[in-house]
Amino acid sequence: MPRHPTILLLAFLVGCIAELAPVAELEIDLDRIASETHPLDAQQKAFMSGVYEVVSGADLLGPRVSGRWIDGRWCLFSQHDVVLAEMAGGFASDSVHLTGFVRVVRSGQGITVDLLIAPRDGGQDLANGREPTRLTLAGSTSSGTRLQLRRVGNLYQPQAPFHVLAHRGGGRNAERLGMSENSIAMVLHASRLGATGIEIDVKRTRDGRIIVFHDDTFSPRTVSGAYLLGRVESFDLDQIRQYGQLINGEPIPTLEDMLHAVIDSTQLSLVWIDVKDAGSMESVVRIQREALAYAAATGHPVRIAIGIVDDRSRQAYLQAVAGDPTPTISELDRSTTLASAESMRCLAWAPRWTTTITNSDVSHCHAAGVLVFTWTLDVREYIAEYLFETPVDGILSNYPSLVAGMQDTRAKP
Amino acid sequence: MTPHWIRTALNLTVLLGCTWYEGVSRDTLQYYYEPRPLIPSTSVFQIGGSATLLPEPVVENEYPIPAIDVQYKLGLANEWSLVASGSTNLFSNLVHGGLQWNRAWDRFSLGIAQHVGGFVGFISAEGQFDNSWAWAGIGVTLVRAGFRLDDYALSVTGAASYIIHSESNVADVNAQGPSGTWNDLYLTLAVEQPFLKESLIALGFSLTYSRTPYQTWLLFNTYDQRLFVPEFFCAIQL
Repeated sequence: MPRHPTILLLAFLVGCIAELAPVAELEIDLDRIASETHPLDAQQKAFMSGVYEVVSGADLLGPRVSGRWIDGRWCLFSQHDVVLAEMAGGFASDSVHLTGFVRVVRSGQGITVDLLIAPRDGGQDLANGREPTRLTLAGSTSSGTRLQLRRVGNLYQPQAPFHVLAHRGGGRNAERLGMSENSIAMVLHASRLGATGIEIDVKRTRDGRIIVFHDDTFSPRTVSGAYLLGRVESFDLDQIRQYGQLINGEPIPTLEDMLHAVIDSTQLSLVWIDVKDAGSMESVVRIQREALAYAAATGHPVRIAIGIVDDRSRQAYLQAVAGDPTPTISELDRSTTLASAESMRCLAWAPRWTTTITNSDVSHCHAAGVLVFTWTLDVREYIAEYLFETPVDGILSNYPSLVAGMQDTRAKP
Repeated sequence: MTPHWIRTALNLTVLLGCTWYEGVSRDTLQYYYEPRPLIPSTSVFQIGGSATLLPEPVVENEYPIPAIDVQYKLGLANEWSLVASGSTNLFSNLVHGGLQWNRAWDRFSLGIAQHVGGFVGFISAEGQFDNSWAWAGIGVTLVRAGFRLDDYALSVTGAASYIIHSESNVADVNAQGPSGTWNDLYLTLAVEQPFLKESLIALGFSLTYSRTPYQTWLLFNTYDQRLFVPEFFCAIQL
């Protein structure tokens, strides 16, 4: 026996790290499924949108879900847990056939699902372009759970638009859908998660380019590529693109590429740019101005706002805009935000959710023409607080599908 | 990877400590982790530190989270002992204790314990957290096995913790956390040995398979998935 067994013990045990176990992707070709059926028109899709009572399958989906067609997919959002479903399909004769997946986002579990609207359950009315008097989707999952969903009402329509903002372009869904956080692929998918807007993070490279990336360093958490490890500002953009990619294989996007993708290929209404480095503010403002001009030219009224996180960030922003402010979202305290609302062209005040936001705060902001968002909120009970008790104008979440489901159905925990 | 300074510091501690060790009679050695029955009415008290590497998917960057740990074991009659353990880093505090049955067969020893306890965490930081706190009531079942070799004791501990009830509060809003569920499985390896004149030292490693590592409460983790949490610890037995 060695004299110092502790050293051997430590040598054996160091280096252990915890990683999230990979989740098997659901191999469903939704585009193929969509192509094998006759698509619904806009009116037929609108007839299907609504709140559904879960007659069978409540253990999986909860008592109610909201259903909407988004970007050609039939999406279900649960208010019960972080469960979402995404399906493709359309008419086959007088029935609507839908196939896709149901995912329990918090655990990464996923199952396939088939649903049918039979002719007598509303399929025939839909096929004839009439609003169904009754609408029921029935089917089952690959795990054998029988599903029956009965439409019981319309989606909640708030008086003013409510912003469901996806953290890092899609939140934690990014790690479970085979799409990386802050990737263009994820952002193009964000609407199907229930998001109406996104938050993205930007960093500056050594050659002064602005990329969409969260961490200070490239690490195996976010990128793949043996030579792409270390601080972001140690690499030129060309080197970054040559040496690595995001963890699921997408290129690391520049801010310009990301904003153009949002404008050209999504219906998202808001982009919140979280600027991690005040030194990059001038470049970010320039790109923001160009993107806003491009959005105006294309007719997509997306709002692109820079997050002001502290006073250093505010000073850098004011210097960069030189008296001609661009839209911002302020994380400063309320009084500073409102005092600077005009000089910062403040779209929203956005305190962290763990600080107290009162109805009086919200009223003061609204009186000044400033919205109230809060971040980054994932717990159902606390989401309910900011939907129902102290209603804010937007919630940034890793689980946009949960926020959307709760907002659509107005269901309290 | 574990930061290099942790490995260096631990190795140096052991080497220097053993160099200064002046010898303690083997018969008088009583350790905390080794489940050899204590002489009735005698006790063991340890104070030390630990560094926990929280799961990357929860904390996003792998920082070692430090804590101060204290442990106490009191010998009762008939192979029973009273055991208590506490850990704190101000924001997160864990205390549990209970009864432990111990038996020895020459060099081998075995202990079985049932603890009850609780976790509480509190933080208030202007602009970030307004009076945020969380608590949990827990039960912990432990099985310990030890092996004595000269004046060293090697031990392995398997444990499972059950959350009876947990809650969190932010300002005036309350949310129930995991309740009525097994939360952690622990495997702890420890080496205990004489150190620095008449003191004793315990060094070891614990690997926890956890749904909600208690140190992460203020991140309001919502992952419903168990992750590995490694922890290194070092304690001086006074």
